[in-house]
Amino acid sequence: MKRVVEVSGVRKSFGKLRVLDKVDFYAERGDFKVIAGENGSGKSTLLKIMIGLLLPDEGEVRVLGIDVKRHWKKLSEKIGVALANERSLYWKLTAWENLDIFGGIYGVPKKIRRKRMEELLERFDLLEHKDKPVEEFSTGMRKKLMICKALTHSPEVLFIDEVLNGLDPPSVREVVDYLSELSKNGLTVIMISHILHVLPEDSDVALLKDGRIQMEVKYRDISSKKSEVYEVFENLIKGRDTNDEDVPSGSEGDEDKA
Amino acid sequence: MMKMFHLVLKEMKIRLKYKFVWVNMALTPFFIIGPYVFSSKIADVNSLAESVLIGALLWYWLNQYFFGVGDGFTEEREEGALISVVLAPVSLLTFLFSKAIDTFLMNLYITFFTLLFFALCGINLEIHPYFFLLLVVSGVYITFFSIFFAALSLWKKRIRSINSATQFFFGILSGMVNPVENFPSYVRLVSYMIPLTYLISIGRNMIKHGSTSGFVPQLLVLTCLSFFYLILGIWLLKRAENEIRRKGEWETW
Repeated sequence: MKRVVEVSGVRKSFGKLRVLDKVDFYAERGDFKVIAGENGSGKSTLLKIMIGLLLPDEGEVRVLGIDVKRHWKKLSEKIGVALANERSLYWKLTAWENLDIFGGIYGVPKKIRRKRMEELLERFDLLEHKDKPVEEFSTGMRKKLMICKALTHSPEVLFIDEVLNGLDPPSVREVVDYLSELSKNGLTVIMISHILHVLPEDSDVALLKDGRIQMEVKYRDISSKKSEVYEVFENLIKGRDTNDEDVPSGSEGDEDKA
Repeated sequence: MMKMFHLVLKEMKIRLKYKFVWVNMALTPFFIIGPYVFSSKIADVNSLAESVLIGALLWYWLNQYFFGVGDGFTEEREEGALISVVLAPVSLLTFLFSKAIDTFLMNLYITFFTLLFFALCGINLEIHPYFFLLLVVSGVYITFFSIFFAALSLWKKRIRSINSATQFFFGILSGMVNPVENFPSYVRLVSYMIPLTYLISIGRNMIKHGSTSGFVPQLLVLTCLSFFYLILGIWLLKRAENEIRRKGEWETW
C-alpha cells in the first residue's frame, strides 16, 4: 500500500537537548496510528514536524507525497489538525461561525461546507449548541469542536495531539469510534494520546522514548495484560531493562497506564 | 481571494461581538487628535487647523494599521488562534492583507465620525473629490509599511513593545503637526524615509490648493518607497517564518 506519511531519519534538538534522534515513522492510507510516550518524550515535536510547524534538523518528511519541509502550505489543504490548545478556536464566535470561517478559509464551497458542518456537529452532539459562543463551551465541547474544525474540509490525513484529554469517558469513546469509522473509510489518523485503553483493536501504537520510536505494535497486542508485547511495552514506558528477568508480568492498574 | 474574504469576515464578526468598541472607535480619534487641532485653532487661522487635522487624521490611520496589521500576529497569538491561521492554507502575507482590509474599513468608519465631530466644532475639511482617492492610496501604502513592521516584530518579538512609541515617532517626524520643511536637514532625512510624510504633504496640498498640483512627483517617490518596504517586509516575513519553524516558537511571545 502507498505510504501517506513518511518520516525518515528525523533529528531535532532544542539547544543542547536532543528531542528526536533518527526517528522513522510511516503510515499508510486508512491507518489509525497512535504515538504514545512519557511527557517530554518528543511526541508533539514529531507531530509538529509532520504537519510542517517545525523544521527538523535532519531527515526527510513527506506527507501525501509532499515535501513538508518545503511545501507545508500546499499540504495544509489536505490535512486536518487538532492540537491540544483549546484557544485555537475563536472563543467570541459561535461553534457554527468557527466552522464556517475555517471551512471557508480551507476553500470548501458554501453548500458542501454547511452540510458537512451540520453532519459533524450532529455527530458530536453539538448541533443544539451551534449558536453558542465557544467561550461558553465546556473543555470537552471545545475539544470536540476542534475535531469538527479539523474535519470540515474532509482531509486525507488527520493529526491529533492530546485532544482526548479533558473528555469524559463516553465522549472519548464517541470520538475514538468516529475516528475509527473514518479510518476504515480511508482517512489516515495520526494521534498522540496518553489515553490508550479505548483505542480500536486494529490501530497501531508507537512508543516514543529517548528520542526514538522504541517499538510499534498492534493495539490488540498490548490491550491484553497477559501478552508478551504488553510486558515489553510497559517496561519501556517505565524505563526498565526489557531483559531484566525480575520484571513482573503485570500489576494492578497497569492497564490504565498502558 | 475567497480565503482572504473569510479572514476579513472573521475580523468583522469578532468586532461585531463587542458593541461598545464601535462607540470607542467613533469617539477616540476625535479626542486624541483634538488637542493638536484645537491648539492650531487658537492661532485663529482656520487653514492651519485644517492642515493639522489632515496630518493628524492620516497619522491616526497609520496608528490603526500599526495596531491592526503591524500587531496582527501578536493579537492573534494572544487570542491563541494564530496556530490555526498558520496551519490553514493561507500565507502569512494573505493573513496580513486581510487584517489590512479590515483596518481600512474601520478607518473609513473612524474618519467619517472624526470629520463629523470636527465639523460640529466648526473645523471643516473641504472635501476634494480626490480626498477619497488619497484615503485609498494611504490605505494601500501604509499597509505596505505596516507589513514591514509586522514582519519585523514577528522576527524580533521585542520590537512590538515599542509599537506605540514608534507610532508617535513617525507621527512627529512625518510632519503631522509641524511640516517637515521646518525640521533640520538631518531630521528631514529620516522624515523622507517615512511614507506618511508624503501622504500628509499630498493631503495638505489638496486641502490648501484644492488641486492635485505637485501630486505626481511625490506620489512616485511614495510608490517607490512603499514598494521597497513591502518587498523588504515579504523577505523578512519568509525569514521570520523559517526561523520560527526552526525554533518552534509559534505560540510564544
